[in-house]
Order: sequence, then C-alpha cells, then structure tokens
Amino acid sequence: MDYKSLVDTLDDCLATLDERFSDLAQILRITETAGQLRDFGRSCDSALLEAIGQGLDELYSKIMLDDCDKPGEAYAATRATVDHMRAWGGSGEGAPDLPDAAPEAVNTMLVLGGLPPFTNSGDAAPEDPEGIEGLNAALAELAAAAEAQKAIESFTVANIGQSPGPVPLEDQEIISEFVFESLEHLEAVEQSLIDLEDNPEDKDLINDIFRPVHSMKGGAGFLGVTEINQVAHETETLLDRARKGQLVVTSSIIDLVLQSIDILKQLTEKLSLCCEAASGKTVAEWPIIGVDSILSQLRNTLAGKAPKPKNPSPRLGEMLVEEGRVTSEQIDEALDLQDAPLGEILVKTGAVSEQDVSEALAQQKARAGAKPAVSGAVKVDISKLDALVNLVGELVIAQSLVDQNQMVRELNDQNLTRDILLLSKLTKDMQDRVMALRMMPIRQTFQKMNRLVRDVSRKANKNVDLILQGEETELDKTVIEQIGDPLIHLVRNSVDHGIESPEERAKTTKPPVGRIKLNAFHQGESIVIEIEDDGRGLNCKKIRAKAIANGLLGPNELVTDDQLHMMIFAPGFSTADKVTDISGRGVGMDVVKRNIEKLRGRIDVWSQEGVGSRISIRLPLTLAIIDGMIVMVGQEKYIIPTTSIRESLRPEKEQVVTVKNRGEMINVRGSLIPLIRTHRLFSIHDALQSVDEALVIVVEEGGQSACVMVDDLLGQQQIVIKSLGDRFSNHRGIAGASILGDGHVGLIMDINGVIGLSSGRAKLAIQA
Amino acid sequence: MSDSSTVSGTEAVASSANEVAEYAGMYLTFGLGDEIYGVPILKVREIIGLMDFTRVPMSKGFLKGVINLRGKVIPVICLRQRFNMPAVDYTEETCIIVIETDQDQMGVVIDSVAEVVNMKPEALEPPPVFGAEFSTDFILAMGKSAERIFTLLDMDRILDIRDFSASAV
Repeated sequence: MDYKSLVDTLDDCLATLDERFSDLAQILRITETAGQLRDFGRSCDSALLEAIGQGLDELYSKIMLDDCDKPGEAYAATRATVDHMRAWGGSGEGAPDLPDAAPEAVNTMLVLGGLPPFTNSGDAAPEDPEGIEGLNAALAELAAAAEAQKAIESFTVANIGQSPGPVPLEDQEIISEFVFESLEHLEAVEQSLIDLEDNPEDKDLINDIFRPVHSMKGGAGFLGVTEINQVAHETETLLDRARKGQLVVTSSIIDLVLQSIDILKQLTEKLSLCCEAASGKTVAEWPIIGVDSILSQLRNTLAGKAPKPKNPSPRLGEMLVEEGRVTSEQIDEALDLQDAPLGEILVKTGAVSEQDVSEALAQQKARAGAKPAVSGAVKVDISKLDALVNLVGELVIAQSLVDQNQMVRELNDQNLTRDILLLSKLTKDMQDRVMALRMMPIRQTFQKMNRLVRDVSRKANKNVDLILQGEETELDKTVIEQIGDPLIHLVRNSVDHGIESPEERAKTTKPPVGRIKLNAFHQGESIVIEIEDDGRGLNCKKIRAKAIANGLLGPNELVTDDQLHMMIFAPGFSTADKVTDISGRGVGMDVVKRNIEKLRGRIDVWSQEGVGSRISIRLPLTLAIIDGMIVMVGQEKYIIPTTSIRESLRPEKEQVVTVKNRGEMINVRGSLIPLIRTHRLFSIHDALQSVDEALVIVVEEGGQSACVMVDDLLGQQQIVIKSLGDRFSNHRGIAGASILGDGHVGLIMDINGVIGLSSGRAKLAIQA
Repeated sequence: MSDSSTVSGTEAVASSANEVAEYAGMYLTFGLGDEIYGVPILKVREIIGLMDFTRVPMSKGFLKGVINLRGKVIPVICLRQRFNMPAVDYTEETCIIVIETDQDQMGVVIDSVAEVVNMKPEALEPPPVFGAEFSTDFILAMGKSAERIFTLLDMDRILDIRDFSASAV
C-alpha cells in the first residue's frame, strides 16, 4: 500500500464518520489503516508516520471501546492530522516530504490516544529506551483503564455490544461470524507459533501471528468484548516488540503466547455460548480461569521482568563472524551505527563483500525453511452442503425408480435404454462428487498433534519427534471431527507410555530422540490411520497378569500375543505403575475403541516388546454410505451391512443341532454357531419356518458370530444411511434406515443388537 | 346463600376460561371415531394420503412404522391406538397428517380430515375432568362452534414419545 492510498482511505473513513463515532465499521477500518500506516512509516524510516499510525490505532481502539472522553476533539484532531498528511504530499513508494516537528494536531491526537507527544530526538529509533518507556506507561494506563472497566462489567451477555438486554439478531450474526473467524485465526496462529519455535528469527512468521491477533483485538473491541480485547491487545503488543526486534523470541515467550491463545480460544467459545444463551438457550456458568494471570504475565514480560535468554538461532552478524569474514568488533561497530540492515552497513564500511553477505542471507533464509502453500477454497455453510447431499440422494432414488418401473422396462426401446443408462451414470457420478465435497484432508487434525506432542513430551521430560505422513488423505468431515479425540488419546499414550525416558533410551541402541509416526492412507474401500512409536512396546507379561487379576482371563488360559494386546481396550484396564497427570488411569482405551466402532471402524494393535507399537485404525470412506445385503424375511426387506457378513449357506437338516442350555446351533464346518430365527425375533408370521428351506447368513460383529435365518437374498448394493432419529436411538435390533430402489424404507439390521437380543431370549427360555 | 354460590361458580368458570384463552387460533379439525378433534394449524406441516409403512419390529403397538417422506424417514403413529381406541379398516378418507415437533416430524394416521376453523378465545373452555376416553393431559381445551364441540389436542404431549422400542416404558 502506498502513502497516497493510505491517506485516501483515512479521508474516506472520516468523511463517513462524525463526532458521534456511530459507524463502528469505519472505526475498525481506521484502526486497520493505522496499522498499515505504522508499518509503512517503519519501512521508510519515518518515525513521525509510525507515531501517527500508532496513535491512530490506540485512539480508535479507545473510541471503539467507548473509552474516549473527548470525542469532539478526537475527531477534529484526526481530521487535521489527515489534512496535514495530505499536504505533505508524496506519491508512490517513497516517503512523503515530512516536516521535522509534528504539527499541533498530531500531538493532540497522540495525547488523546494515550501516547506521549511526538519528539524527533534521536529519530525515535526502535531501541530508544524513552520510547519504550512511553509505550509501557501508555500500556499500563490502558490496562488500568480496562481493568477498571472490567470491574464494572462482568463478562456477560449484557456487555456484548454494550447494550443491556437480549442481543439483537444482527449482532448475533456478527458475533457468530467473529467467533467463527477467530477460531480459524487461532488455529492458524497456533501452527505458526510451533513453526516459529524452530525459526525464531522469521519475521514473516511473527507477522503471520501478529495479524490475526490484531484483527481479533479489533473485532473484539468492535463488539465490546473487553476480555478478548484485553488479552489480544497485550499479546499483540508483545508480538509487536518481537516483530521490531526489541524482544528475543524464546520458547518461554512462545509458551506465554500459546497460553494466551488458549485463553482467547476459551473466551471465544464462551462468547459463542453467551450468544446462544441470548437466543433463548441456557448455558451453565462457565468461568474462564487465568485471564487475569495471563494478562499480568504478558504485562510482566512486556515490562522486561521476564528473563531474556540468549538467542538460540544464529543471527547474520554471528554467522559472518563464525565464518571468519568479519570480526565481532566490526559487527559491534556496525550495530552501533545501525540505521540500515546490518549487511548493507558492513558492505559500506568495506568489512565484507556484497557477495559474502548475500550468501549468508541466502543461507539464513534456507535455515528458516520454506513455508507451506495455502490452498484456495470457498467457504460453504455445512447445512447447505448437507441439503445438497440429501437432494442428490433423492435424485439417485428417483432415478432408480424410473429405471425399475415395469412399464418403462416393457417399452423395450433401445434409445430409451441407452438414455436411462446415461442418466444413471451421470447421477452416480454426481453423487460421488457431492460426497467428495464432504471430504476434508486430515491435515488439521494431524497438525494439532504437533502441539500436543510438544506439550506432553515436555511435561513427561521426553525427547520426541513427531513425523506426519499422508496429511492430504481425505476423510468425511464427520469422521474428521470425531477422530480427533481418539487420536489425541493414542498419541498421548505413545508419548507417555510408549517412548522411554532419555536415560532409558540411552541404555538401548535406539536413537536418543523418540519417534512417533502418524500416517494416514487409503486401503481399498477404507482409510487407515496409524500411530507408530519406537518405544518400549506392550509388555505381554504385565498385561497377562493384569488380565488374570481383573478376571478377564483364566489363570491357565492360552491366548496369543495379539489377543493379549487387544486386552488394553478392556474398560478400566491399565498396566501403568503410576498415574500421571497425563494418562495411566485405564480409562480411555475402551472409550477410544467405542468411538472408533461408532464410526463403524476397527482398531488393531501390533506391538513388539522393546521395539515399539503400532495402532491402526481402519475407517469406512464415508459415514453416509455402506455396502449392504438386502434380505427378505416373509414380505419384509432388511439390510445387513456387508462388513458383518462372513458367508451365507443353505443348511442341511443334519447341520441343525440343539445344544442343551444354549438353544439351536448350526454346525458350520465343525464349529457350532447359534441360530437366530429372525422371523420369531421380529414377529414376522409369513416367513419360512423350517431352517432347511430357508437360508442362513453367518454374521460376525464384536467378536461374536451368529447364523441369521432369512427367506431369500435379494442382492447387494450401496446403501445411503438415513437416521431414524432420537426416538429410535435405544432400539436394539435396528441400526438405521435407508430408502430402497422402490421408494420404500428398508431397515438396517443392528447385528450386535440382534445377537444380544436373541442370546437374552435363549437364556430366558432356558430359565423358563 | 344461593346467590353468592352462583356468583362464585361463574367466577370460577370465567377464570378457568381465561386460562385456555391463550389457545385461541386456527385449528385443523379431523374425525376420529365419533368425535371431531382439532390440532393447531401451525403444528401441521402437511396432509398426505396413506402409503405403505415399513413396520419396525419390536416397537410399541401404536407405531405403524416408518415412511419415506421425500427422502426423509419419519415415524407414523396410529392416533386411534395412541388413544386406546379400537382399530378400524382404512378407508378412502383415511390419511396421515404430518406434525412438526420440536425435534422432528411425525406422521399421525386419522380417520378423515374435516376443515380449518378459527377458535376465538370466548369459544374455548377448559377440558372436562371426566368422560373422555383418554387422559385429559392430551387436551388443550374444548372448542365450541354453532353446530358442534371440538376437542383441541395438545400434540406436543401426544407425540412426546422418547423411545419407540417395545421394551421401553
């Protein structure tokens, strides 16, 4: 942005505003432009423009918060300042023709913004201690003012938008948009922060963090949400220092910023809850802890009370010294004079050649590493997408209705047959495409693990490297949302229990840094997610002992190692010697397994003691479609998920045996499998009664097998699952519904439930 | 003595009449057995003809099954059975009214649709304590017109069925 367009924008905003400052959107625009002006001033070494930018930003942040006692003066001063700026002229990239001293209006504006008047002494270099002190004083003042304000208003719905009573509908919309955007910003910031830890010198990264925090601050101020505004403001100030190079980015600073990001996240979530509460829904009191503490920590760090450890990554000067091209005295000399980039000064003073500097700079950039590209995307409301998915589902059904219509079939027209075939191909393609819209790369979920591994490994004093693979693999959005928690649990387990402590690792031949690999890939019709670590692996002896103690296993029962490994998913099962605050309570793995099963997935464990373990989660491509076998029982049609079917057979009379206390069984190649008479369980009267006339389908789910008796198989097809709603959620025996080709509803059998129900019945019958 | 008791009696009627005044509005009326019932028109999403139900095994008796309503699977109950009235054969006039509940839509099988009537506050009376074939909990109020009396139904309560499975209480 050049100088002229900045002035134009400001002019524009002021033209629409007046002394009452009622148009908040324009105020927000001014603070944004002010930020750009500040950057512009810095880029062309103009302390005056930088000060004006800073001043406008502060002043209009105050106005936004309704914290400015002299709005009339403020408007006049701004007006005059902008007029001055226009008079200084200037066009294009270069700096305008600036006066040495600030005009009266500028100083008035600065004072109103809570800043000291502008002085041109020492060119107000960034290192100017007075300038920092002034800023600090202003900060303290601002913080105090904000604190006082907070004391009066507690963070309730009433102060959203600073209007008592229910939040108007338009405001709710703005708030929910703000919440949505903020949460997105915070995600991005978190990732950048993790990257920043590796490249603390990367100004672009700091800027990437600074900008979203800044816009959050602005947005929160605009909405009058003081707590978010305050935390964002202090964080922004801290980042601003880092950006100017006044503050060395250390991991303690990153920790602090991460903490405030967490608090901002919580506050934003709370805001969205409050907003819902205002629309009639009730929310429980949910105090956010740590706002005050994070504010004071941020302020302490700003005031320089926190230690400033040495910069961990090499700076240009240090690198040149390292390479022996210059002496450290020359660098110090150059730094004393620094008003241009260090490299330029060194070249000017003849200490090094231009080539040396550019080589070193290139190297510095290479060390910082390349940033990942961002993909272009359109945001679409999920409800719109779901509506489209539903509509296409209906289209597919309508198409198959036409296709299967007897009259149409009898027409026997070649053209018509061809057209219908084309139509069905197009609808199928369209359905695939629409389903693909719901698919999202798993990247975000994987990247969250970076933060988790970092936090947990620090807490557990372990060195862990997380390797991510297959981040591009796409999964259904619902699956992505629900896979997050189980993954967090598994990764945390790997760090806490899997990876050994550095001392333990030193005793083995393993590399000192533990390795956890997260991988996602397609395999056939499913998606596999693997969590692999090179830690100590599962201890079979311990598991065995624990399983016997818990009564899961008889003392002399023979089981394979694989079966033992699966025991870790039993409820309340933990072999950890001590319970840490990270994990080890034995709750969790069973929840993980249940959640995966809810997504119709499967979980498997591979482990070798001393080598490591690998947990693989196998999930269906989408939740909305399954492969199903349509069966007839009497006149009723049911769908059995193909994944549960092992085989189907027509049993001979001899295969049917009645086992005492266990009811009817079918002998399938030597193993006895209980028979479920579906027609009895479902009370279907017109079904085949004798087993040797009917068919049985051998099904298996949850480690149990059964023979489900049906009259006939109608064929296998893709089934679009429809929910039956909450009123059927406890209905055992029926898992869901689907609309069949003839337009009727077909019910999907809940194999697990059917097996449970029929074994319950058998037991009752025996007792009677 | 008799005067004062009459006065207090009228007062009681007046005050309870006020209690039901809030139910004034448009009602869709329909026949079920010998009676005419009404449901608030705002609850009615549409009226559809009978279609084939898919029976849901192991569910409550009054649940006729589920149907495909333009791609949505919705449950359909028989109002006669919900009110413990004897079942009858379906006729040409039998139809399903689709009711919009807080959480979903539900179909209700009734004998025949009648008309839409506007119930003024003064035409409403509180439900009788005795005499109905079913619990008065299901009744909002009684509505009177020149020719007949309507039983205005509280669909929220009638359709407040948390669980359709037969084993549920």
